[in-house]
Amino acid sequence: MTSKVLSIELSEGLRDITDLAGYEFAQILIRNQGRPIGSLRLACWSGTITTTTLTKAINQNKVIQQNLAQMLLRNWLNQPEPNQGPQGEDNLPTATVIVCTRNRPEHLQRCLTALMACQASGVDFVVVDNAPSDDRSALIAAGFPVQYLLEPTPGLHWARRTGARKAQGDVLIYTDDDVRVDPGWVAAMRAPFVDQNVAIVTGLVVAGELDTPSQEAFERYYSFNRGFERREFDLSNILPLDTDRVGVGASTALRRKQVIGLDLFGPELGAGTSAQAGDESYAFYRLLSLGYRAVYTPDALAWHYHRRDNAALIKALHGYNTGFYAVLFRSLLQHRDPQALKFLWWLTWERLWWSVLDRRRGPNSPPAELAWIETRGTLAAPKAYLKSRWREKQLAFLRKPDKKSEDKEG
Amino acid sequence: MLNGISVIITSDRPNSRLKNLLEKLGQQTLPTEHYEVIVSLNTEPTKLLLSLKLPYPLQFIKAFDERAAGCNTAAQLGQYSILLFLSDELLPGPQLLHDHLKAHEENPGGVVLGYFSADYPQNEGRFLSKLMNLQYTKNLNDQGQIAHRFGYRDLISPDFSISKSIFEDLEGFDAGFATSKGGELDFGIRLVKRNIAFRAIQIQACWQPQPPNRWELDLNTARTTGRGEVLILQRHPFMSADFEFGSPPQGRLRGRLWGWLWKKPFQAMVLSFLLRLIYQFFEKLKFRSLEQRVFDVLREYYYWLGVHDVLRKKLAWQRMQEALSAYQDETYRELKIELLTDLPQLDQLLKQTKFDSLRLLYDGQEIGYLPPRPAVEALRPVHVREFIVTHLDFQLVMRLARNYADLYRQLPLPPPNFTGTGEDGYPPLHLSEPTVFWSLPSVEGCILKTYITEYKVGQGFPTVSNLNGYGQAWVLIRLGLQPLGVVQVDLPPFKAVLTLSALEAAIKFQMGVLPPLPAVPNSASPSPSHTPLRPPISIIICTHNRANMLKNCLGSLARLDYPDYEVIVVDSAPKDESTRKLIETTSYRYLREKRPGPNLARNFGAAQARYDIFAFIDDDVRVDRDWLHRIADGFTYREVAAVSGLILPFELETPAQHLFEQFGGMCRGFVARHYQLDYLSAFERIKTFNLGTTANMAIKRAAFEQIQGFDQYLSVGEDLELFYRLLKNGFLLRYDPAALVWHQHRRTFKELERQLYGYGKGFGNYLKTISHKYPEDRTMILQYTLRQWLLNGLIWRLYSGLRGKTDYPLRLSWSELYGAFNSIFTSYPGSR
Repeated sequence: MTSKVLSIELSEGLRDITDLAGYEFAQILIRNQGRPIGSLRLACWSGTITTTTLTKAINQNKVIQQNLAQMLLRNWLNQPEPNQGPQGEDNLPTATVIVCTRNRPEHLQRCLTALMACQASGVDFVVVDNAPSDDRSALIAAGFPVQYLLEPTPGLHWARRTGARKAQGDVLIYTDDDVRVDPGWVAAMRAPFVDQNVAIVTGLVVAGELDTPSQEAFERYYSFNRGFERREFDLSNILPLDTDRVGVGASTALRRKQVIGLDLFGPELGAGTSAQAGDESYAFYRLLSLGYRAVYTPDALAWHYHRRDNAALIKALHGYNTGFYAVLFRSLLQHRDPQALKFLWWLTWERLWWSVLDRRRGPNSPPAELAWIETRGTLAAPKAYLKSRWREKQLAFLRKPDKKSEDKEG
Repeated sequence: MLNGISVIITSDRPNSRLKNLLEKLGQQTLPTEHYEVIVSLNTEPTKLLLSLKLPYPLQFIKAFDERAAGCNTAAQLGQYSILLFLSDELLPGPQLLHDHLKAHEENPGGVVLGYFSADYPQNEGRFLSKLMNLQYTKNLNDQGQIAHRFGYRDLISPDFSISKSIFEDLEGFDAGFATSKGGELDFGIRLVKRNIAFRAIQIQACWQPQPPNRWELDLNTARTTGRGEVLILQRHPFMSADFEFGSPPQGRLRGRLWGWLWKKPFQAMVLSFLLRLIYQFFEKLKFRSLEQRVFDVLREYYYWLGVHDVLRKKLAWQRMQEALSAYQDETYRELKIELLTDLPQLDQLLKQTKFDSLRLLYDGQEIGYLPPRPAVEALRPVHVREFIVTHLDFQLVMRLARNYADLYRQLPLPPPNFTGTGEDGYPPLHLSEPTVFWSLPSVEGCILKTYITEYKVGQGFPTVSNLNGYGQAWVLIRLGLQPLGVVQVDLPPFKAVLTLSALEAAIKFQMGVLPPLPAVPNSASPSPSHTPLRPPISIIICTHNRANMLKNCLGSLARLDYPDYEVIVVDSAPKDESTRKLIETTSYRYLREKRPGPNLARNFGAAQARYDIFAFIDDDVRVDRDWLHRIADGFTYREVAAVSGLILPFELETPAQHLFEQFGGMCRGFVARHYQLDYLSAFERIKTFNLGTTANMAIKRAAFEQIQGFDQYLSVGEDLELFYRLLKNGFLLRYDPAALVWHQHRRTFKELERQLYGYGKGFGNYLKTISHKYPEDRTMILQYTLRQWLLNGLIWRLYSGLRGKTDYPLRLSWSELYGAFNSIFTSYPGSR
């Protein structure tokens, strides 16, 4: 089962979609005047989707209807958009886009090509190459107006840290190399930072391609898409550990002074360690629990290319669960947060009881095989966290002289 | 008066925060000859403050806890035309004074609220003060919204400026509010009453750090709020709706604290002290919800302590309460906007008079209501527009587009109406399925009959008279070939007639479509480019001792206009020869299956069929003229293995028929759907009754043979089982309402009871069979059986029948449950 990923701009008018031979479904992102307002999943049994079918489907979709109706009415009545927080060019902080990559030059090429459409004044670009095995990434980065940094210690958080330390902007916009961003992405990620209380901005991430069953499964059960409605999270409406709702690391912006001052990408968590993931979850948790505000904005659109093969999917799923449990352990051990106990208990219950024993499963819960992988990930978490702590201590020890000299320079 | 700003700062104590603020005011972009600063202090100014070298004129005055009086004195001393009140918590940016002055020049005679982005300190401090800070910044952000409706509360801003003439006109702050917070609120209320315009500007400033643990300060604020609200209510009694003054706290702890406050204040004090200890304990442990709950109780106690400070006696509170409730409410003017006509002259309407509340109407129906609030500015067009934008849904916007040409032009899609034809001749529209509230028409207890007819849109509708005895009519609305829905028209009790106008009214309200409905040509092949496939079809009818019913069915089959089809009548274990005799009068094929059971009969019929598509119907249905065409259309999707269609009641004359249609029925909606295993949840897979029944379904020979037909041991529920196996084998099924048959429901109550017994037993057998055939699904099937079918379905229905909460007869619930019970004892052959 494969799907074609498409994007349709409503203001340009609808046309028949014909080049769908070989696909069973079309995953269509609907945009109006450049803004994503919803997505559709249509069967294409005969290789085409006619305008009629499309119109019908759009007219049926609740989310699209609501967004479209609001946009239409605002246009017609000349009612301006509600301004979220203070506005103004002069308050806009400078930004640095940081792309962390590791041994995936072909992905990096696509990512940087898309990013170059986002160039604006006050924005610069940094590529952090994490423990590369050859210089292909460096060669590709040399072809673009970006700053190339090398981080020899393996681990995504090391790369993110290096990026933060060398960046010039006040706002750090992080993305991964397997992401293709929309031209308005940087501007949309940067705009909410005018409000001094906003510390986190996350964007909408949709699937870039759905060519293999693993990609389909990932998009269906563990989608990065957090909806087409702008949301603000703070202590009053979210538990700080419930970071999954806030957004994903593939499209996240933070303030530099907080990343460095609070050591948000500290050791022990993140891809490349034995905890495997969870660095951005920890950053979200820390900032939310300190009372900052997080903004999820669907205007910042990025396309994520999920792992194509099944082995990678399984590894990623395993890693996400291990990572999240590691965040829980860390918040419990380091910050003495009683909420972590609640989450540990609740999630363990859900994993073991709901998923594996096949009870209380909703229509969209993942199949038992995937649930079992998740469970294995959670079971591996305590050991992985402790191992990661031990290993990171060694790494930090090894890096020490290097780090000291850097601090002196700075 | 000179053109410039007098900055008035009130401060409790001269500390370093005040020093920072004064130093920042020295670095303004506004030239120093245009402003001065007056500080109203509670104490003598310290040497530190006096020794400051500042570029602007600075004065200190002593207020001694008389905050309002201090402000008034300072305002009198000020020599410039604008007064700016600053809180010492603020750390201004260099643009502050310049922006205020500019805003006053742009629209003179108003109040300017400084709208700043607050960078408050973040630390590991108190959870509740973080929450309050978040709320505070949210309010400030809201003030900056274009559609914000300013009210008296907005004046509790850390910086606001006002022209001196207005301030003097209103006689300044009320000196009665000595130290309480009510002074600003009261001033705000008076400003709003005078219709003075508010304006929010954006400036750069930030919040000065507070001492981290300020929860006692929060409690003190609650106390001053209580004091202030009593004083405000004494001056402005209409404000009582906005304050919590009128409602004493409920709950065991809160109520006791409140009672003790008036009678035994010492005990209340001891209890509150205990609560403070508990609060500190919870805060230390980071038990957030408990912490919040205890603090709420404490805050409320301190609020009432403030009220107690002013009133002293409970009797006084009661008297005041009576006086407030006797007070006549303000008269509010309500604006009614009819969306169909009033939108263009909206600005004019609001210019002529001032309105406080808003009611939105669409064609006379109320859509939204914005209630009036005391001491809030009158509605401006921006407010009304924002309300419209947030309250209209998609359907309404699309309907509005028919009335307003400029809105219509902006639509990116064709609106869902009846213009144009798309593929298959079906109109490109989606209508929400009609929400018909099935109800039995009855006059004084006797149930009336329902008249059933159909209305082809655009082809006229002759008035049906002579409907005496019918309580209502059900009209199937068809657009071309597509059934759009059923509407229910109530008929007048005497001289019952069904007219087109009554029908159109019903269409309008039940289907959400506005008449007139444009017509679509009614032809079998609508688009010339599209040449439909018309494969030959075998119709297989299974009958059992019902020759008279079969006669009606055959009559309707004779009217079919399909090019190539055959009809096979399978007589299942007949008692007599009447069916054979009936068939011999026609050209149809007659087969006889001696073993009983419709499953065997249908398998036999399929084995003898000549063509590659089998269409199964029951003997108690009448088919629509285009039925076979629509079945064939369903199979134009290559992957579709089976098509099922819409089943509507042929007659609703007896109570039993009404009951059947009301609680269940065979109609599965008016929207075409596809079903495939991957896209159904585990429970949806089991509910194959949503896919259709053998009363109206068609299946391809290949699929039928691959799954080896109907289960030979299952004589009831065999169609459900067939659908389940089709799904499990990965076939794609289609439900298409355009393939329509009319089903003759059972007429008597006894027959209906027997039918429901059969349903219960059949469904139980079906579940047993599939759990035998697919052991991997057993857990899901067991869960479904226990939870959904038995508990939520049958037992709940029986329970609500016993409690008298439903109209569904108890006997029917019993018989279905009894059938389910009996299905336990029929064992599936080969299961052990």
